[in-house]
Amino acid sequence: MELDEIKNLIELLQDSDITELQIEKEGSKLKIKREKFMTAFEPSTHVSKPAAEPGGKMAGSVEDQALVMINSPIVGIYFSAQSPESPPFVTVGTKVTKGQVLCIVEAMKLMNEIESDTDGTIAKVLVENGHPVEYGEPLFLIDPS
Amino acid sequence: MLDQETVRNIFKGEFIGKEIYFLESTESTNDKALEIGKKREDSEGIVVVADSQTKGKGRLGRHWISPPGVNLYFSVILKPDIPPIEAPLITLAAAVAVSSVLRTWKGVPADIKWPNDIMIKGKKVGGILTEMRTSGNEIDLVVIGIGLNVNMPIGDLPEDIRSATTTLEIEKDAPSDRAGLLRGLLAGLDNAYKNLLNGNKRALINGWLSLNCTIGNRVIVRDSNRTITGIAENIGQNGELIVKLESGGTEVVNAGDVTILKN
Repeated sequence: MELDEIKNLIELLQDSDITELQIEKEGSKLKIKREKFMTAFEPSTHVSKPAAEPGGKMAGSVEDQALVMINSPIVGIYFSAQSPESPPFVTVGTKVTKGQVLCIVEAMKLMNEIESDTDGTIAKVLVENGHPVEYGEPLFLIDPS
Repeated sequence: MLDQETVRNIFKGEFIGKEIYFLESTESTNDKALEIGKKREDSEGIVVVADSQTKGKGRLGRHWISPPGVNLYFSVILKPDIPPIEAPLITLAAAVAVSSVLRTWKGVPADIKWPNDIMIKGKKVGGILTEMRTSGNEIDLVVIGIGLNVNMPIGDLPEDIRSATTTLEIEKDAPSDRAGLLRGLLAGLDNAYKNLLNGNKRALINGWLSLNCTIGNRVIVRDSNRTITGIAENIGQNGELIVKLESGGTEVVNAGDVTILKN
């Protein structure tokens, strides 16, 4: 599924009372669950058709993996780095630990350094540097495995 | 004269001033305060004061000029039990406190350029940079950093910002006692924080409006993606700037640099 499609679904959910949504489309399976602030998301990867192994044996299906979503706790502007000259705090593939700063959301010259609430690896960055974000908007998906 | 002995017991409020640390020189009082705040659960109210900073911070990595012996640079650690979305009000409260103290203690016509620049007659005298750490929907830590130009020779500044900057010494035509001023500012901040925790947001917004120099003026707002021009109409309930665009319509601004245009 495309990133925009996933974001649209998440936004749709945020404006509704739906707490769980499961979609299967063109070989992809997406399940979004809402639990208060944190949202579990599984699986991010295409659950591909089990590949045939040499010798004709079928490989087991991909283990479903819950991703942790990090949302913005304030309304503001998203910054991926400390300053325009600095490298981003994290990118896809960065290993993070609980408490590590992932990004800054600025509002009224308050720089909100948003921490990861889990150990894991950044699976997706959902917002572009310098763009506005709403309260509760998803910023990152983290693979905690 | 600022030193450990003078600063340590300079103020003890209901929230702010439980411990006050003095450093001759540090990279940034905000960084020092963040370091202490992360280590200690009971850090609310701790103040870090430095005589000079080698990497004084402004917004988005900008530099705050921090020479020794002349100005005030300090940071306050807070752990407010409020939702993060309301936290920007802390920066407005800090600006109200600083400009009120400058008016009453120093008799200068200090006011606020959105959201929290401290100005005197259109020139910047002080800046406030607040850093907040959140995890999920909880505030771990808030550090309010304040830099105030007190007795600094204006020649210490890079040439390109001199005309837009002032100091209390220039405005009063006499040097100020930094320790006395620090005491007044900490008292003002303690009171403002108390009022904020009591939930009196309307009083805070009204206080900000009565001391601001932005609303009612034509402004240019620049952020990383766009530049808008219009009339600054009001601020929202969390301090957002509401701009009536010249092209029609209204924009709500959460972050950006504001230039007030002279009519």
